[in-house]
Amino acid sequence: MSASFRRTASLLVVIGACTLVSACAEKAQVSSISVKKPDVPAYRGTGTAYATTDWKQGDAASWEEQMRNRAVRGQNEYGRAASQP
Amino acid sequence: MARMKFICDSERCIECNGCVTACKAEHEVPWGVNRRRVVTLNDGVPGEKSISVACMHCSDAPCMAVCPVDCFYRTDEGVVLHDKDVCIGCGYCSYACPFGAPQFPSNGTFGLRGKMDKCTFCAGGPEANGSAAENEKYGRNRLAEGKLPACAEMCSTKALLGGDGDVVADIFRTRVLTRGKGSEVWGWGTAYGKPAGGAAPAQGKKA
Repeated sequence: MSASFRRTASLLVVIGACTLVSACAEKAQVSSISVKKPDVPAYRGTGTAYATTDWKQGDAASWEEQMRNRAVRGQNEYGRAASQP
Repeated sequence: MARMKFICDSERCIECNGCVTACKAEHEVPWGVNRRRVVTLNDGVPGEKSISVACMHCSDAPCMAVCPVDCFYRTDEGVVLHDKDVCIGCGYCSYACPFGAPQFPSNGTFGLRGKMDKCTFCAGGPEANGSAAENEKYGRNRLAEGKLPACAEMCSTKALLGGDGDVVADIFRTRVLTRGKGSEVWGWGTAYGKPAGGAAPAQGKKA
């Protein structure tokens, strides 16, 4: 076996091996980390004048109380009727 | 912590579309998208019923499960929101949603669907509360202003109830007991699952 033939054969083996493992360098196409932005809780308020003044912005308990009161006051007319003399 | 939910009382809904209009106006929702719609069952037949439908902010939201880029998230109050900067407009969520809530602007060329749009329970998005960026992408953040969703607060007959699940369920229960009928809450079983315990529903009434 001549030296040139051996060189060609080994070159082909190297090229073949490189072709086989070329996919290993590919970047994974699945989302491993979330890129969503973190949200700010609603109880923190907006700091604008459009917010109602019945609660304290930044206070979670106050915000929850406001949500409950607003739902009952605004949506439960049975409660309103019962409170009438 | 409050768990925000919607209830639509079909005995009271008069199909005025006030909720639809309130939502469109409050959030300046673009043409082709209705975050809330009124659906009439057996239209024209005596005894027809109407219900107002939007995102129900499901406990186990199918839209969240199918999103390939994971753009959905749930807030501490149980509101299902999404990040429009991450959304790729694939439309999987609209196929998965049993309420037809996720919608796409239809003004694009070559079938371009743009970013998905849906009801936010008036809770905006991941941008800073009340900021111009949040307003432009998602509409107004009424929850952070200490208010409830515009559709529920504008409902003339109070058919649409929105707020803390315990509170709105109490209001609805009082109504049903007072009038003695109409306990059907369409969509609640689908959105929040069947009740795990408690008394079985009365004969002939849906959960």
